[in-house]
Amino acid sequence: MNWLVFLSLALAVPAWASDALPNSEAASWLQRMSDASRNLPYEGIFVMQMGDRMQTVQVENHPNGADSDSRIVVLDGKPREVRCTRSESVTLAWGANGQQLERRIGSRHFPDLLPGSAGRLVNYYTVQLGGTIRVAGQDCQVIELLPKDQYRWGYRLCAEQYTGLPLKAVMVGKNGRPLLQYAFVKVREGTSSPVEPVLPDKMPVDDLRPVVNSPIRVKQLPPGYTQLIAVKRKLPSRSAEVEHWIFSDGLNHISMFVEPAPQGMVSLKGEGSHGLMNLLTRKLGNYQVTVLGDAPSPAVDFVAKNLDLR
Amino acid sequence: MTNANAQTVFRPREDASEEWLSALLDGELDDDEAGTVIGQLGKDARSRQVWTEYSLIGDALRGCVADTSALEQRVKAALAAEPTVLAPVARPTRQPVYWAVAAAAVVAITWTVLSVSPSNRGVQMAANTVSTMPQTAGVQTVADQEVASNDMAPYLAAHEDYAFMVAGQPDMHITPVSLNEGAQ
Repeated sequence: MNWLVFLSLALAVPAWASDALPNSEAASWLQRMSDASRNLPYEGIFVMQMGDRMQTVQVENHPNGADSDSRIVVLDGKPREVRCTRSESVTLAWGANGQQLERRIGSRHFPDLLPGSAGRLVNYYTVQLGGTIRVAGQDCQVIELLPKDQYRWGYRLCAEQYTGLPLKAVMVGKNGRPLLQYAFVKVREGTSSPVEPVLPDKMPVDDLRPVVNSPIRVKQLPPGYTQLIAVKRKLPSRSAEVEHWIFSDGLNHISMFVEPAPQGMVSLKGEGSHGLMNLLTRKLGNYQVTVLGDAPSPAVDFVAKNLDLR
Repeated sequence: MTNANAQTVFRPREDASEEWLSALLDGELDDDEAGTVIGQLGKDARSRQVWTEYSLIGDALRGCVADTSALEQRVKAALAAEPTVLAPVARPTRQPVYWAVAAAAVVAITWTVLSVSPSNRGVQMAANTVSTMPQTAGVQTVADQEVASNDMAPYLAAHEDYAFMVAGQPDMHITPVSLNEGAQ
């Protein structure tokens, strides 16, 4: 486990520089990293750390035209695997009842963190070029994204010098505190897997339907945030379908859930124990609206307060 | 049962002596009865053999038997010959007061656990950190807050779909707030 100790030290003591890049150069760096994470074939093992939780994950990526197919396998705890093919992804879990499949509405994962159009991030983040450090035995360039307002967490990325593949990513909160960290411990270009990961033959019944005629209207989103998806889906412990909306600025994500309000509901505010997640539940007409995300509290509050009944 | 009764009731016939030996092994005899049966063991080779087999059966059931085939065969034979020993009847000497004390202890421990549970601590901690919105005047009960905190798990799991996370859902500190909903 010595590598874990080294990894923690490397994540905790970064060597950042401080000059902001011109927008064009910054956009170029970001786009290069975004493209590399999808267009390069690679396989490796990365560690994800959130607060005191750490998990080891194996990943392989197979470019497939303009998109890519990938497979991630959680190596710790309960056996779990996520397969992503184009815009579809499914989680496979193994438990007492055998294999369980669950369709996911997202197919992104480390190191594919940056949006497809990463250049637009320069409107909302100041991009700084840091020094060169070593991650997973490879030299990489530190790139820091500092939020320009209170509606987003920052990021520190480290891109492999020649390919631009992100080898490390740290979501940064107030006062530079790490909220969520990913880092490869082993990675190689190319894949040894003989076949591309494919979705299981028997996919789960599709319970994701597009939202039509929602009773809620979003009046305004925080700067830079756009709506990515709005679906009706079933959630555990809920008898009726719930509307699930997702908003993002490309790096931070906010979910909004709309459902009939239970009797006697009260507004609730929540904060993740590590500071990463924030939540606000409110009543709007006869509906309960729950807004939560891996975004600062002002961003979550902004969404929750800028809603209207149709 | 007194010693005198034991002397008169105890009969060194094979079936009856085995019942007394079984009772001795199960700790169901008082001191006088046990002394009588142990004395019989010293005099009767058949009783000693039965005692040894019963002891082996007990050891086998507790997983204390060495792994030797001969011994295993003997234990299997003994188990087949004396199935009733496998399920000894509990001694009917339970005292209701013990159950009452145990129940009271369980209630007390449960109350203590609920009072200091992480979700409740989370509610308390979060109440100190929320500053962007005015607080209600303590209208929520602890039970309401715990239910609300648990209710957030499906939302967090659904959000995880899109938030790159594979490390599991973070713990949330939930607190009730009062929003100015006049303009919705």
